[in-house]
Amino acid sequence: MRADIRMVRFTALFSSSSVRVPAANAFGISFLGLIALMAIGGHFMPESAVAPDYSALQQPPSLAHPFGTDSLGRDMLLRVIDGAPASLLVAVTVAIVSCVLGIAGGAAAGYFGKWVDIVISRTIDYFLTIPPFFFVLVSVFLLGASTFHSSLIIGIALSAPTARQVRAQFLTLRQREFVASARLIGMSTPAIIFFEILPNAIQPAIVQSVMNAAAAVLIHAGLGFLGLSDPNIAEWGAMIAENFAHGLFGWWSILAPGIAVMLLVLGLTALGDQLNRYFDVARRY
Amino acid sequence: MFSRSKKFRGAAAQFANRLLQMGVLLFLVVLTVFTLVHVGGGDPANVYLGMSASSEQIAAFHQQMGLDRSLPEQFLILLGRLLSGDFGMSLTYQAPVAEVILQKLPLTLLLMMTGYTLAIAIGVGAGILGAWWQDTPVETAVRVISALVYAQPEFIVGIVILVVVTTFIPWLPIVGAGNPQGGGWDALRETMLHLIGPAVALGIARSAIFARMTLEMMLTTLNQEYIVTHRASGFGARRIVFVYALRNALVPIVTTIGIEVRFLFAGAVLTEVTFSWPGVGRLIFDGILNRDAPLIVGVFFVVALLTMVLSLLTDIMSAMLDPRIRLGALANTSGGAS
Repeated sequence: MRADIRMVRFTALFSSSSVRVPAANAFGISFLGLIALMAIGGHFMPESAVAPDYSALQQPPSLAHPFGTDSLGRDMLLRVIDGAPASLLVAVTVAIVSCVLGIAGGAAAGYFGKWVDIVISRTIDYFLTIPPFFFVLVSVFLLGASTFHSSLIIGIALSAPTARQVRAQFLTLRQREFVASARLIGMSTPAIIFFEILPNAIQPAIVQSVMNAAAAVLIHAGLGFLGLSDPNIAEWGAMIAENFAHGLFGWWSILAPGIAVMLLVLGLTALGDQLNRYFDVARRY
Repeated sequence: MFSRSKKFRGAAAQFANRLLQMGVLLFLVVLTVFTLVHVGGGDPANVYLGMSASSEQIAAFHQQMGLDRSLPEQFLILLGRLLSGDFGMSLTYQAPVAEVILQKLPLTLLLMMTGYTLAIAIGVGAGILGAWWQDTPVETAVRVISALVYAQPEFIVGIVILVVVTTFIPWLPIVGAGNPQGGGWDALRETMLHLIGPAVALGIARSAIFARMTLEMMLTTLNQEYIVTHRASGFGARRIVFVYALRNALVPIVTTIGIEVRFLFAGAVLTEVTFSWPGVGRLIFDGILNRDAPLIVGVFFVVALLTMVLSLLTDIMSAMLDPRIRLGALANTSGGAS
């Protein structure tokens, strides 16, 4: 009766009855579209749009400024749009890095076994035991806080669950008959790994990577809140910290980036859940 | 008699195995610190002596710290130093890092324990509510609120609590921790009053996962045939929900606690920064502001070590609760999620 923790944690965030889930997930995934639009807008936004305006300091939400302005008179909606590319970049990079690393490590450990498996398995254990937030924190602190750097580090820290999953898949799949016959007809080892085994093992890794992206957005916001994001670009966590430091009288300037983080995380969890359902052949038929 | 002693030996061997695993992990933690410091830390002499130091001073410093030796030797020196609790001097506090951390740690542990106890209470309570009023707006509310809370970084909930308390309960002290060094009952009372805000914030922020677990597990149990049979044989609904369904939900909750152990400190630290609670979180914040590398590295080492000990303790606890879980095997279940 032990439930799969990961399933409960990440899937079905919206509803229990399976009929409504795809609709709820579609709604969640639409948040991702919104964030993507914001990121495109933020990428092409001229710097003057978020220039300080000393005639409109700390203004509560109004028609002109739907999310109010911060202590320098900058429109919060525009600032949040300005911060969208960084968070989306982190989400995408972490998904790719953790997926590639996890598959490479897990496939090598599962296929080759012996000392390769021992070394990789210990490394996986290590990353599954240490607190990821602190590993990322100390690494980013010592190696530099550019957005790309931190995404790489978060990607490394979060690749362990993927690697463990892929390893387990490879351990069982390499015993199967189709692998033996592939070997018999003279397929090379890389061909067997990539074209025979991997297609059967890649789906859970993709789902896990999307979930990693959601976790990464939260970790990255936490780093920004502690002052460890790239100082040259707008970042939601840093925005919250900055406005928070200016006192609580402008709660709206914290609201906007907070909602943005939430939408991105919810969107990614919904995407992961829907992918999981799509890949789950047993449930589909 | 024989079987009992054999069983005991099995448990002892498993425990020894876990300790050995912990040793390997500890070694890897030191290796991480060593690699990171060497790749990105720069020359510590610049940090400690300042830019105006002469080359003789720098050479003397290198010799004193063992930085003129080979890399493997340096690694062994670092291993010895960290294992004996010598994390160097904090630049911010001008005191040994270990001393500074030990001084701040009790307040963090206090916040962590209170916060997570509240998180479990709130989460399990919300889960029971949702299961009791299954298929009603209450269940939907539990689901939606826990999803929203889950998608938030800890500090958002903290800020909301901060705003609510300062607006509606202005007499409740919420920033800082009073003056715990003062001692005596008044100081204790003061600290406890200050604790309410951050502990409730941490409790709400981390309750989402427990609410989902409890709800999910209880609904699964409630819809099973033996419960339907129970209901048909005339057992009261209250007894069914609280005795049968809740007991089944309890084991995965303990497992969840084991997984959450890795996120204990992260949650506490972000909450501390929001409420200026003077624990390890504030320490990290100061360390980042002042580029205090020994302090940050020391905090990482202590937090990693404590996390390992706590995860061992929760593993033992789940093994005691559920005999099907064996101690050795649990290493592989801790931390499926990120």
